[in-house]
Amino acid sequence: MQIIVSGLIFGCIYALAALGLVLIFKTTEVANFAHGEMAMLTTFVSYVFLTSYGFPYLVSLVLALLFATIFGLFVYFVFMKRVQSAPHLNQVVLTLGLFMVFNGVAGIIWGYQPSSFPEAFHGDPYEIGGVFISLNEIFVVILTLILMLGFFLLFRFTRLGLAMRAASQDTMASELMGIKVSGVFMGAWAIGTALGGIGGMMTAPVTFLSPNMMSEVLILAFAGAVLGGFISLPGAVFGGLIIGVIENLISYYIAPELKIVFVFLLILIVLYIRPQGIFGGAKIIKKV
Amino acid sequence: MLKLSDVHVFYGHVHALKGVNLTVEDGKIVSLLGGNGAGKSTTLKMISRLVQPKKGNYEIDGKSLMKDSPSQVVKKGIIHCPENRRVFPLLTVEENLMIGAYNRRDKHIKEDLQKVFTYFPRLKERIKQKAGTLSGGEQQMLAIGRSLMGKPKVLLLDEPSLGIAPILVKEIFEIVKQINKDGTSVLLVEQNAHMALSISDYSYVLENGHIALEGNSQELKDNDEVRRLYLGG
Repeated sequence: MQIIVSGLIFGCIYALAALGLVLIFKTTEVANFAHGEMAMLTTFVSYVFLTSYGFPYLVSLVLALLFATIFGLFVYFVFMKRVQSAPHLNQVVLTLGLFMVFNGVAGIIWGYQPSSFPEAFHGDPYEIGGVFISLNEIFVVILTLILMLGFFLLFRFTRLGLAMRAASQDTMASELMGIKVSGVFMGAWAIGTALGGIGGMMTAPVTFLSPNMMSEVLILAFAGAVLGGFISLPGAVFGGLIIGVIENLISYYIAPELKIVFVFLLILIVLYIRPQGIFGGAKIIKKV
Repeated sequence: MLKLSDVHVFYGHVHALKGVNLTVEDGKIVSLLGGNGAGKSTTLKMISRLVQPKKGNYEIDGKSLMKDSPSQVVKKGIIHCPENRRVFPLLTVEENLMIGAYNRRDKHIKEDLQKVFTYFPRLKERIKQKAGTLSGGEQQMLAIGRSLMGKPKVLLLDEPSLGIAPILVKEIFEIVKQINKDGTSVLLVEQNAHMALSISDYSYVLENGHIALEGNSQELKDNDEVRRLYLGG
């Protein structure tokens, strides 16, 4: 039981990273491989606020998310806008390039020596029914669920959400209906990067803060997103949670070295049976 | 009144529109005829600003649109219903229609939704269905309905008969006539010249990026050249 609960908490971290990925993909159809590194940079920025300036956690979080928003817009305007209508492969290569650039930049500025990063809440774990769980872990779970629900409702029921879904399906028709598509894309990059930043700040206490902190998390977040269908926000969270649990079970019962192998085996099986992912729905019906 | 004066459009080095003059009077249906590549769709795309004019001017009710973005053109009441329908396949019929009202803040959106359903009762039956599951004809109805949700003064309609069963084509053109009677001007681009001439008040014939011929649709129908080139003798 403890293993499953711990797995769920890891799963939440993957889910948080996956939410931002899915948000950007769902709106702009770009699979952003640099997402994890952008989250890492945001986390470093929050660390600067925390340590160099000595701001409280919450203030640093807000400032870091502000940075993430601007950072997301910067990436969109300087890099992604130019390749918005380019083939997917070009976009992938570009985001992989950004991955390496951001990783290197962080390495130059802050070095590769891992340092510890504070949790949002301190305190000893509680014991609930034989399972140990800390206040911070409860916070991570609740935060993940709130963000998932919030963005799910945004997409489903608001005017902006409708515009985001429309823009991802047909940019030309969206323009003709009066939607400012580049504005919608800006929003997706800003919000998606901020979401990634939250994920980074939740990850750093576990993995320690270093330029490479997000690489494994991002791979598993991608896996979770794919498992959930890549366009569904609840799917991303559910996929992240499944992967967290499986990973933890494999580490405990088989071998920690094999966990990624088994996770990908699971994805292979799921995608073999349901190519559109668990929550993917019918992406197949395109224009007649 | 929508008025184009001496509009030029270039695609790279290709001179696609070479000084088009065209007027859509209030309350009229105006059709734009011509062969493939004559510049019919380009004219509509220029008006809605999917492509940019290089020279000339165009205006609605005396207000120039030359510096506008697509969304500003929409706000001024010119709505382009594109070729091949371009409905949002993964959104429901209702969501597609609501996208049409994206820029509106007034309280009459619900009423206009009902009005679209009186034009196209089929859409009401399929209100919760994904647009991608509709037939071609139904998608065309949805595309027109979506444009109407933006309350157009002028509706730009590009090839509404393309790839649609003949029986539905008739039905759709009847409804376009009705929409026009209810106060919306229409600029119609249509391959089916016979159909276009019979529902429109005035017509222009585009050839190679300029207007080769214009006149009352009834008169053009009897014009020998138009008969030979576009009506099959």
